[in-house]
Amino acid sequence: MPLGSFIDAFQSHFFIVVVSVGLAAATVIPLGVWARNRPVASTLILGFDNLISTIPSVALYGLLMPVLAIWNVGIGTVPAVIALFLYSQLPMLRNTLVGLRNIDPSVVDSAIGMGMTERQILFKIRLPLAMPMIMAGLRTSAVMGTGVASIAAYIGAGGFGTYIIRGIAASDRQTILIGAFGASAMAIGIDFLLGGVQKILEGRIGKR
Amino acid sequence: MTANDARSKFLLEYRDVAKTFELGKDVVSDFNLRIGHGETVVFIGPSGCGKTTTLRMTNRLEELSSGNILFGGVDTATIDPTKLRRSMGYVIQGIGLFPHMTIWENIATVPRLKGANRDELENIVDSCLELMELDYKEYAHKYPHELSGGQQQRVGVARALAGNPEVILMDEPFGALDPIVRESLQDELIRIKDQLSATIIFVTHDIHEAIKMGDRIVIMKDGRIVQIGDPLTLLANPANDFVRDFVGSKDVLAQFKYLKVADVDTHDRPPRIAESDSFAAARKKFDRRMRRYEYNGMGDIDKSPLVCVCSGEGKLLGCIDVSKPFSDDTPADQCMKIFPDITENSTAYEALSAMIANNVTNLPVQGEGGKPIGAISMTSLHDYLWRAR
Ligand SMILES: Nc1ncnc2c1ncn2[C@@H]1O[C@H](COP(=O)(O)OP(=O)(O)OP(=O)(O)O)[C@@H](O)[C@H]1O
Ligand SMILES: [Mg+2]
Repeated sequence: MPLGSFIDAFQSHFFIVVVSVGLAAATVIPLGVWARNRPVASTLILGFDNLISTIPSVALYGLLMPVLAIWNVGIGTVPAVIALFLYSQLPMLRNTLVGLRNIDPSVVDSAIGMGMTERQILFKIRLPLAMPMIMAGLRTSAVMGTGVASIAAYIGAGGFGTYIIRGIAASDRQTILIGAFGASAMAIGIDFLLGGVQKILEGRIGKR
Repeated sequence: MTANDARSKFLLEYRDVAKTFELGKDVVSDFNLRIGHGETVVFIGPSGCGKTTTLRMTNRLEELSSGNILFGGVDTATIDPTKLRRSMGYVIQGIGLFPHMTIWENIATVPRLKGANRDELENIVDSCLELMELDYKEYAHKYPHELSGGQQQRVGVARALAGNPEVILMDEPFGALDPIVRESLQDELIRIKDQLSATIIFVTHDIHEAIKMGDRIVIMKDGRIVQIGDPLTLLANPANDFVRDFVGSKDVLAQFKYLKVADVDTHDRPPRIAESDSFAAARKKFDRRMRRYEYNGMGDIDKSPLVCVCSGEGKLLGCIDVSKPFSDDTPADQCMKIFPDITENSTAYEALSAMIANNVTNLPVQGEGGKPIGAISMTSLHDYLWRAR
């Protein structure tokens, strides 16, 4: 396994996390909005996501490999992104559902009573009110995803995991530490950034 | 009668309205009611009698199981629900302010939905806050959780008024408030409704609030109307024991609490003298009045012969009882007594209490600027009460 530069590791790690968590957010939040008042559908989706998260990540990579090998992308970035995409769904979906369902019904009721349309209620009432929960889910997913992405180095996706694997193989503690430090620093950094985004959104809520 | 006539006559008309939820139990049935423009109608009854349900059928938050509701002569079933709701203010049971929006944004909601621009919104919010006596600078940019319960209720009312609605539906708007705040909000709402000549449906389960607020009261039980009437009719002529118990008409004096001085026949304005006059002038004025009107049968006036002492602007300063043994040259301000202010808006209860507390049988009634415009006496209260029965 080639040990590229720290910058390379950072780039590929960051790429995997951002793309997979971003894709997951883009699909799961609308899914949560759709499923919030469909108990059967949301149970099924949550069950599926729960099931996925019980599969150890290494095993999931292993399972994806033969399938993706058909298109000749059995190793590398593609399986890493797909696996991470699947993993990061659960916290976001759960939080989106909880956030949307925990809204005080009297607030929605008065919104309807004031003549807001279903769409206006969604965008001006429900989503802003559920936003802190949704953002919390997104942050959990991103932090968790940064950790899980380290393991993607096993299937040649690069990232900080390569340092860790190489360090373990060579019993070189310093190399392991570099990888571990890089991954956790990235997790903290992403969480911090998303926290900033959340602050800005919260400050803007309701102001059109 | 043309459609137009029908439209102008009643703002809201409930025709055989009924509502049944799943299990087949009638929550509302045989509900018939017509509400005129500018009228305040109070729905009252025990918990679960269908008040909220009826209110929510009005703006189509609940669909009717049968019957129709006409709004300005048009069946609400044919009106787009969001449009209908925007022309009806709604104060939900439990306020329901939007917690993530400032007071400004909360109040601006309906006018914004109706397409008002920024300047118009600014004006509307400003005037609604002023109407509810909330300081713009202090409150407009706060969030609901930063306000006290009473202030939140005010905002709830202000928000309902903001869309300039044709009718305001209020579901126990002053629900969980202590009696003092509650009363001041009631007074404010009365002032506002007079000012805006708004049509209001007001739900409560407090009979005092109902009698205070309502031009007419609809007493409900088990989803049916038991009696409709103005407060005094309900007190004086309850349809059955349920109403009697409910409005408390067994307590005769209670009626005085809801009777306005303006409803009672008052006497002519008592004679007036100036501040600078003396006791002798007061007595002379009174005697002349007695001769002119031959005050027979006005026993109350005889027993407490009062003369008003007025300032240069005509404001009532105090009263002189001319039967009292003052020397002729006593200056007016040394022999006059000051009584509690009684206006046309005072309750008969207040007038009666003031008379008893001050050991007099009549009191001047003050109009604009505190000027005496008439007198109320124990006899006039008595007459009114017995005529109403
Ligand atoms: N969505 C619903 N589904 C089934 N039953 C309902 C529903 N809403 C209200 N009810 C029932 O209808 C009846 C009347 O309810 P409503 O809320 O109109 O009473 P209310 O007079 O407003 O009472 P309160 O003074 O407690 O607010 C109650 O028995 C209630 O349980
Ligand atoms: Mg109710």
